[in-house]
Amino acid sequence: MVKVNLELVEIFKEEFGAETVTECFNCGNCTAICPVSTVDHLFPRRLIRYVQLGLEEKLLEAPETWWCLTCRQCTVTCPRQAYPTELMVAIRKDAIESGRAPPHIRDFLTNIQKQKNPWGVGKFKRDQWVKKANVEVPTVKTNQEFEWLWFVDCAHSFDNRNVPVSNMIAEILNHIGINYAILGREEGCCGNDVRRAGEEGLFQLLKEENEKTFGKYGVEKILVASPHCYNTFKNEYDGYEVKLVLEVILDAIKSGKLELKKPIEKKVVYHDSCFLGRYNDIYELPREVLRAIPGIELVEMPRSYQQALCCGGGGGLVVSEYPGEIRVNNERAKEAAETGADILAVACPFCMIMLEDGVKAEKVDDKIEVKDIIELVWESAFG
Amino acid sequence: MVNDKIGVYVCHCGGNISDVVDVYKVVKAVQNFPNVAVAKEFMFMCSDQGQQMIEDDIKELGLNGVVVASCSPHLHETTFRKVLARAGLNPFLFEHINIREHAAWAHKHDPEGATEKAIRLVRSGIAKVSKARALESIRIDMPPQILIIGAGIAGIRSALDLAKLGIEVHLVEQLPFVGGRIAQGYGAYPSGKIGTELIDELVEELKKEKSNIHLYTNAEVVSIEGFIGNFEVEIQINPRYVVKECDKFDEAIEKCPIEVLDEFNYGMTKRKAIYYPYPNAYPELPAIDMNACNKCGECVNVCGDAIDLDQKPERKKIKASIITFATGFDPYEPKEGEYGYKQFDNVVTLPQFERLLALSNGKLEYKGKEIKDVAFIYCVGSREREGEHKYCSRYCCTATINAALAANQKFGVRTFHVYRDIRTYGKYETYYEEASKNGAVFLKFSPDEPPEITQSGDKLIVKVKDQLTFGEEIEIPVDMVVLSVGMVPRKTEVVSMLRVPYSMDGFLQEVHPKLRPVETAIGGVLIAGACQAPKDTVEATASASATAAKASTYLLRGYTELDPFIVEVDAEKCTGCGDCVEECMFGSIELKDVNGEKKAFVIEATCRGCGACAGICPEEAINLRGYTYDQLRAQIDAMLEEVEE
Repeated sequence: MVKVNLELVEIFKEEFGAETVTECFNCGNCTAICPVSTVDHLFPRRLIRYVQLGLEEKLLEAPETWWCLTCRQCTVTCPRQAYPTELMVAIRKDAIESGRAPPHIRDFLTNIQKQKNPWGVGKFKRDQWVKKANVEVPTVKTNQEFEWLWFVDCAHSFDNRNVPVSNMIAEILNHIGINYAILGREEGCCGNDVRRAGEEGLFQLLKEENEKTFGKYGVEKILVASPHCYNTFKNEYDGYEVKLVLEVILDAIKSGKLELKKPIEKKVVYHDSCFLGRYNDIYELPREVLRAIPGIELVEMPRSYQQALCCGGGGGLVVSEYPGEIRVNNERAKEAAETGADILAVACPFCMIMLEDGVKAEKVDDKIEVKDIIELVWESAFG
Repeated sequence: MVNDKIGVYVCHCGGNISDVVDVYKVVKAVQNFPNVAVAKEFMFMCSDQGQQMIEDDIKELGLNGVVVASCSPHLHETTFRKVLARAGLNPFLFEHINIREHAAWAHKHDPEGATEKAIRLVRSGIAKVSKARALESIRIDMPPQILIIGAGIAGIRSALDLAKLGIEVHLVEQLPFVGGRIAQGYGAYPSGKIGTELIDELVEELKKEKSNIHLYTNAEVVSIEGFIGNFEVEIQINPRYVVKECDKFDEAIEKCPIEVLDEFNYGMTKRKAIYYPYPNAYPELPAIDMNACNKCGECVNVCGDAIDLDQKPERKKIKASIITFATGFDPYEPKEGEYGYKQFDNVVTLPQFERLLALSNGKLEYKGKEIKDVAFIYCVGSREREGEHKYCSRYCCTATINAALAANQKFGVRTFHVYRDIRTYGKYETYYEEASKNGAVFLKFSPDEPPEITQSGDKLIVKVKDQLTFGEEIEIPVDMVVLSVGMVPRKTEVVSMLRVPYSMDGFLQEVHPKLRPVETAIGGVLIAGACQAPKDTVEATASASATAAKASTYLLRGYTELDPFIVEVDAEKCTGCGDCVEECMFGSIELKDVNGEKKAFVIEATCRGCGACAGICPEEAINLRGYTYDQLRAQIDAMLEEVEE
């Protein structure tokens, strides 16, 4: 027997941003569409219902709070615009305020708080990747007259699989002739996934720090490769012009500044990133870039565009052991391999990490290779 | 008497019939049948040429009966009857045989069988027409006067519509004031206008139509005799004891020493023996409740001869061509202990809650306690698995949400909705939306596990196994529980006077829900508003206006014609046993003394031609015109006659 407590509903609405919770009429579409909800663990509907009735004990003991991928498939499907993904985030906020963050999320947040990256690598090592670059990478100090700040992001700075992509980005940007600079060691974490993990306070702190740094160097325009950074800078920071590296590349291909000479005779399947697609409605840009590469045959997975399956790397899960029952990265790798494609193309460094794991776990790495679209562009242009 | 010159016309229907049925063979098989003068086939019998051919034959060959074998009589029976009339032949010396649906279409894979069936059907038609008699439609005068019983929103609406057409309306209301249930309601959806305001608007119109509307309040129907076009009604006007205007009524009410529970407010407040139900009630004269009054004379001391405590009931006879029932409904009264009703103080019904909203100012209070959280239990006394009320009252979901919204907006009340299913059908889905937006909490229970109400301190606790929370047992502490009760039918005596049929749910029943939605099986008796079925205000007034339109089609023309297919009694055969009187569900047969013998007589205006009496008569003394024993026997014989190859 549990008692209704409408005061908690007010707290959720006012403090945790769950204004839409009363929109939900419990139809269960969110649960039906959720890629990680199972018969024994039905959510988001069940948890949203707990919020509607203010059943806090039920909420705090629910493991599903930490199963959500924040992939937003439920949000785009919800017939009532109740924003289930965002309500799941609100539930996390309540759990974090109550000191109930599970160990993997605690570690993720601590790493970012201390070292400004999810892996907890020393923050002074953020600009180490530049040493491996074949080209000169201008910084805010060496190129004070920069137009674009290239916010390199954590994955492209620290993750071994993604660092080579950073080098290629630098080479491409130099080739096109973009006037840019990077922050080097002064770059922090954008906070996108901190916010999705429900740590609103830390997100606000990171945002403040970043804005301070941006102010220091007069940053007005930000160039990013990661859809996660793109999302938060564009939608949750104020007053910056934000652009994706892929946009710059497509413009350069169209204007002839970047010539894709070498054909890549491969069958390629593109995996939509949640933060490009469902969060920002960008579905065609990556596909257009892929189509511009000579030789590529672009195919689709059964679940694509708005219905694309998430890689499972959002909200801090990229550095965690997933607590739920369904590994979406493995499932997605299998789905990609079943299309018969040689290459699984991604547009996000987290998707890269998650799907590389998936391809290996499903033992399809002899059939399909995970590559960033930027790698394919570089190969065609300079390879 | 035999019609011995019958014309038979077999239609091809452009192949619809002739592709399957061999129409030439049909013609051949019937042309030498007894009493047939001529038999022909034609491509389209309903075409101008086809009709002309029949008309010419009737005139030239002197036909005294016609059979057309074609489509369904629903399509063209009237067409061909008119052909007979044009040719100067009685239109009822006609039989329409359906060989399209009944032969060609039903047996298209068996042309030979279909042809044989067509032959048998046509022969049966010939046999029937050979024994047909000329019949005349029954004409009934309809003077423009109507009786409407019940002056709630439906009764008043219907009365106004008719009065504006110049029709004389007798509007009879059993209570001392008009307005019915709507006056008791709070904000009626969809406008949200307070019930009494809605009635005020209609009353303003009513005052303007005084010349055509005779309003009798505190009045009841004592007897109804007669039939469509000719109802004779006796009403009794019970004394109001207030006989004329006086400007000191307020003082008289104040002086009255008697206080009783006020039924208008469902007993939640008290009123005096001399009273108005609410400030603007109509008629403007207060009424004295003689069951409560002790005749102390205090009011007479104030108002003098405006009050007559010895006033006597008065009887009056009214003539009406049509009677409209607008007798309304009663809210379901929960059983004692049903969801804590009459067991705990703060368990009330939805109508009571609406009165409470109407009576409250500033904050919502009941029995001296402020109400902040309210739980509504839906479907109380509706959709019962066992018991009388198996139906859904339809209006309660929207009315409940509407009241909850008002309570929330006016008094900041938080609402919990414990429901089985929400049916805010039609436009009113927006109410449900708005309630959800305003934070109303919905919890769904299964009829197998209804919610339980208990008391804990000064709170009521609603315990519900909530299906939306996956069967979790939820406790909701509230200050008040409102039972959303449905509508139940009123079994008034006046209904039984006319034997108006009831539906299975106990409401008055229309002839056909789609085709004749406001007429009853009793000729000239219409139904408006919630006496027919649970209805909301919108539906009630719509049906009221529909009855007015229906009534005016008779009353403005001044007469009506009824089909001649009614029964007749052969007085010689009739033994006066009375079985037919018992059998007739319309009260259309009565026994009269004829030279010391009892004989059955048919009231032609009310006979519906069902033939039940003809079937039960042991002497075959009753025949249904157009379907007499002779005709039916001849038909059967003809149908069974061998068809030669």
